[in-house]
Amino acid sequence: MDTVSEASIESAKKGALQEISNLSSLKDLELLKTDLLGKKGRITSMMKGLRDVDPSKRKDLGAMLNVAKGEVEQEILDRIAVAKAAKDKAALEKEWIDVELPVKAPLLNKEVGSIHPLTSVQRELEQIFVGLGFDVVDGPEVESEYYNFDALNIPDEHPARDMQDTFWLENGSLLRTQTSAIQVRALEQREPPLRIVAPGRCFRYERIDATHEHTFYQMEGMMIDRNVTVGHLIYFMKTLLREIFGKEQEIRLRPGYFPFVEPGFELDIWFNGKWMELLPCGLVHPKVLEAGGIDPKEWQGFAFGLGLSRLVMSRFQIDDIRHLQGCDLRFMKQFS
Amino acid sequence: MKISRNWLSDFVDFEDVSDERFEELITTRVAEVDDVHHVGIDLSKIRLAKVLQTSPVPKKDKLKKVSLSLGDSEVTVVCGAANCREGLFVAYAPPGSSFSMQSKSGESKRIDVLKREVGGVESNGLLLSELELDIGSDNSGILEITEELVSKKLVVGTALSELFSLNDTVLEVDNKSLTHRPDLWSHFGFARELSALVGRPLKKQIDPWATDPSLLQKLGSGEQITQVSIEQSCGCRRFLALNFEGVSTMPSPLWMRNRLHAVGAGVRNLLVDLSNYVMHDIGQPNHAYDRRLVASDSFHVRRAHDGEPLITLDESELKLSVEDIVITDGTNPVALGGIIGGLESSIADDTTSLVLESANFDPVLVRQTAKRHGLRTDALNRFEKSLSAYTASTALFRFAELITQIDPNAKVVGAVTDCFTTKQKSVSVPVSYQYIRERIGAEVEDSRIDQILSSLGFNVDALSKGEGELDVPYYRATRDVSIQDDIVEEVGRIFGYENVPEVAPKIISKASSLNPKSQLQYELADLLRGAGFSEVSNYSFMSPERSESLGYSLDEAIEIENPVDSDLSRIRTSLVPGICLAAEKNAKHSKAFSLFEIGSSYSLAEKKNKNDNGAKQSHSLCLAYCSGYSEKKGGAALEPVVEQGEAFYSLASVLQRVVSLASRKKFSIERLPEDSNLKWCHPYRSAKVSLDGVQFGVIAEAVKGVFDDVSSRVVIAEIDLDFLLEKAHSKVESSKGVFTPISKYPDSFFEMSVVMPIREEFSSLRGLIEEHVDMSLLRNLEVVSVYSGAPLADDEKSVSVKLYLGANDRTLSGDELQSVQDGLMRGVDSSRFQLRS
Repeated sequence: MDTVSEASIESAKKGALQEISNLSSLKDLELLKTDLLGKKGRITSMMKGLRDVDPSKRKDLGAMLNVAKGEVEQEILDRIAVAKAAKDKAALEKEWIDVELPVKAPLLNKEVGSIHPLTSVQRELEQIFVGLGFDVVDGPEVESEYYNFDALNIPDEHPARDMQDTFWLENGSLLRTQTSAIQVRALEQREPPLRIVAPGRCFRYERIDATHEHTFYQMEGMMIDRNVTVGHLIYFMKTLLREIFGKEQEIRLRPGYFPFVEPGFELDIWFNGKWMELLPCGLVHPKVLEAGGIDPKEWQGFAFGLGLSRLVMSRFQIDDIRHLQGCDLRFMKQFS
Repeated sequence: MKISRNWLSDFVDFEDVSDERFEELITTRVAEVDDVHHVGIDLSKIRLAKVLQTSPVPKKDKLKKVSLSLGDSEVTVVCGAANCREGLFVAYAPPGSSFSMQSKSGESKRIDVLKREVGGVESNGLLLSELELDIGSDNSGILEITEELVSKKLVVGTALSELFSLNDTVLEVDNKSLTHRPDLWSHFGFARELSALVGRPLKKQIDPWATDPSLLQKLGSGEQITQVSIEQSCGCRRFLALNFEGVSTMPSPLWMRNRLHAVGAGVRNLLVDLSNYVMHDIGQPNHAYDRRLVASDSFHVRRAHDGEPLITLDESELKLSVEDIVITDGTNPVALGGIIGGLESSIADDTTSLVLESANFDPVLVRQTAKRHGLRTDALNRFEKSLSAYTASTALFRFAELITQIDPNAKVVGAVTDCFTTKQKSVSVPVSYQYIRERIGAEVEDSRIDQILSSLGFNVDALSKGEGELDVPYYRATRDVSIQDDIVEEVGRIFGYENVPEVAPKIISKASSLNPKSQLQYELADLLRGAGFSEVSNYSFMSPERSESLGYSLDEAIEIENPVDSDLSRIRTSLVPGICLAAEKNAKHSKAFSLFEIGSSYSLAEKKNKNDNGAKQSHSLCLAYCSGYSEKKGGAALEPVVEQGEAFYSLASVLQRVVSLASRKKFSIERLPEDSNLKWCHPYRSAKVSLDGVQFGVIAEAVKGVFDDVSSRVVIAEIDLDFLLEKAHSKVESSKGVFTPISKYPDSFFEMSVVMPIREEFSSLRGLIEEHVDMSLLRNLEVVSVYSGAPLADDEKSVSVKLYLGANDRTLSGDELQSVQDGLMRGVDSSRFQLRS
């Protein structure tokens, strides 16, 4: 073989680039790549040939050869990529179908599908509330700090903010930590008297395990009218529970602290021989009414927050909350 | 927070109230009780014994064979405690009794004592430590019982229950339910509530210490030793200091160790423990400094300098900021105000002279400081709730009272220094008992309301006939009680909500409604369930990498500042990435699957006003279908039979049914350009879905490479439900009162086959038909078959269609039909296509 020189490197490079540009099929290009850069490839042998070069020139020629090799390698890889893309595209093109063809398909599946237990329980509750004269309304999951906290009498730096670990967003908004965020929105949009429920997804910054989820569901309820009392709240809650469980339920109210209600309660239900915490509730705080543009001297109300996820889990005895967002058909199919 | 029943008994008599009733009272009237537990093992089975002799156990360095006297008998046990020695009085647990063992998580459980052999020596029981007796937290050796410790003469053999009563019941109260009650972060605070609940006065009152300044003057004497200054508006509202001499760091008495153990606090020495005890006792955080380390007997409270260093008691090194309040000795910080003391000036083993600090700080500032440095301490827990500044003085009284009781050498020196710069405003609330009754919904008598409020420390003197200004006690007047509705809560909870009758309100009846969105969603879900689809629910988050690889740009995807996982760091802009995950998951165990999800996605938007959420919300339906069998097999069931794309056509057909819920019109489906941004879409099997010329969705087969392990083809569709909802609304509108009579005349039909380029969409043939056929007569157009192969050329296909024709007012004559047919034939002849005979 010829001794490696500047001229031989230049001509080998030119030759190789020329050969590459002549080829377009993936197979030919792969072969050429081996022929040039493989173990016994032409350019590889030139690298080996450097050994026979005058040591004083070896360094410079080596560097030059490396650059040339890099150029050839880059070029052939680029061409291979283009050829591969063309081949893939051709393969896909073989799969061309007339997407606009009107085709009638019979029912796809032999078996019936299923509705998520959260959806079915939510639906059941919505129907109960519609029967009790409540409208079903909707609010955004991405919420402003104002509706989720400030308007609910939870100003910045209030320790009550620690009660709810929050996902904060780049634009200063947040993922709502509670469906209560809907309260002031509803008050702004509607005229009293009003009765609403608002089901939805809520979020808390939390590590997931069998009993904790960062994504969960609540259903907020609110009634605004004249002369609303704790006795009315008890009436609606007992009626609701009677509808859900099909029979009268023993309940108790005990003090609970939520800045947007005053007084605030936890409602417990007597279940399997002990009191079980079911839902927080209370009379709507005057500051919340004011935030919604409603005169608290004229109107009062109560509000409550049903934990839908918790209700679903106890109803179906689901042992792991992760199933609810798990998208596993083996779970879902049990609810067909 | 933990509340000890014994401790409460210092302030209120309630021996006759059972543990169950005690828990119920606190739960139903005050705050949520998370747990109840008992402190102390069964001491009636543990006996006082005296160590007669100890001898080594062969080959066991640390163990001793111990002979004990029980008075009437002697026993031998093996003991490993270093402090076990002759002459010591000890707690002996015989076989059959039990002791307490603490797990790493701090929970204690009871373990039975058994007779066993240790190193060849028979051990007839155990000698117990404070912790094993569960009466204290010391576990460094066995409990050394002395006459001083129990203040009784020691008679060996006596049951320990005769020597001391350190068994206790502890309520663990949910801290969150005390967020609004700075006054309840102590035993005295709970005692005040309990006194109102059981209707008995407090045995010991501390409020005068807070409200009567003359008592403070009497607490010390002579000149003030410690000088205090507070920088204006630095956030420190009050700072008291008092000096003590002759103190020592002896161990705390057993009763104090027992109580600190009950509330889960550690013990160190009398001075440190006492400071802690006082906080749990009366709720005021306080700090004891070694006087030697407070330069020139003075404190100056100020904001920290930027970057100023402080090493705290727990040995963490802080770099302070100008927002932090620091207590300095005039030059250097010695404590972080309201949160934690400094290491340097803290109590040392040889401390004999101390300065006690008791102060009050701005709740917002201390909260911000703690957040900034990632700290959470008992002091912070109290100050951030807006503790009354009046309470600060009570810590000095209580500390002085206890230390002089316990240690006869300790004494107060000098006068109290009280720098009270920001006075607390007194609060009174206008109330009407009638309003209170109306809110509760029960007939609570005036006298009962008077009594409830008085028992809670409110001053009702200024009221007349249940109307007027109600004075709020200082400890509730910092934020908690400020409006009449707060008083409703006070009366309601003590009155008892179980006494409120259930009443149906008088309301205006009206027909209420599901919102139209829910309505549509339910109809969709029912339809899809019927078609074999199962509903899934994915997170509202999406992985940035995965979404980009599917072709969803992150430009508009809202970023979460504190995601639980970097894979969940964006709010989803589409339901497709989620359903792809679900498809992958299910493919692991199901060959075929049909999934749907209804949910919201969001993109970044301008904030319309300061309360706006800055996000555009859209509701979508997403479908994923995988038949699990090869294309051809499934294709045979379709009309017309297709050789390729069975899954695509099947899902498109479902989609058509979905849309029909909202619109009478068929949607139009149009090829997606090959260079679409949606990288997940197969370039030759994807289409956009439109109605009335507006695109509202996409349907496509997922291109190879989207799924790692799914062998069959998966088709995915996503449509905009907000758009569909609009259509549904106008469908309802347009259908009002419109009925088209059913035609009395039968339809006719004819078939035709057209040869066209194999890669040309059916829509061009449809266009041709629409151009040449009188559309008022065309009832329906069906594709009967699509054929390619011999004798057609490779680039040709034959499409057979069936046209149904008819009129509302007549049966079409043969001539009419023929003329339509001829017209169409001529049209085809003059087009790019050919008729196939």
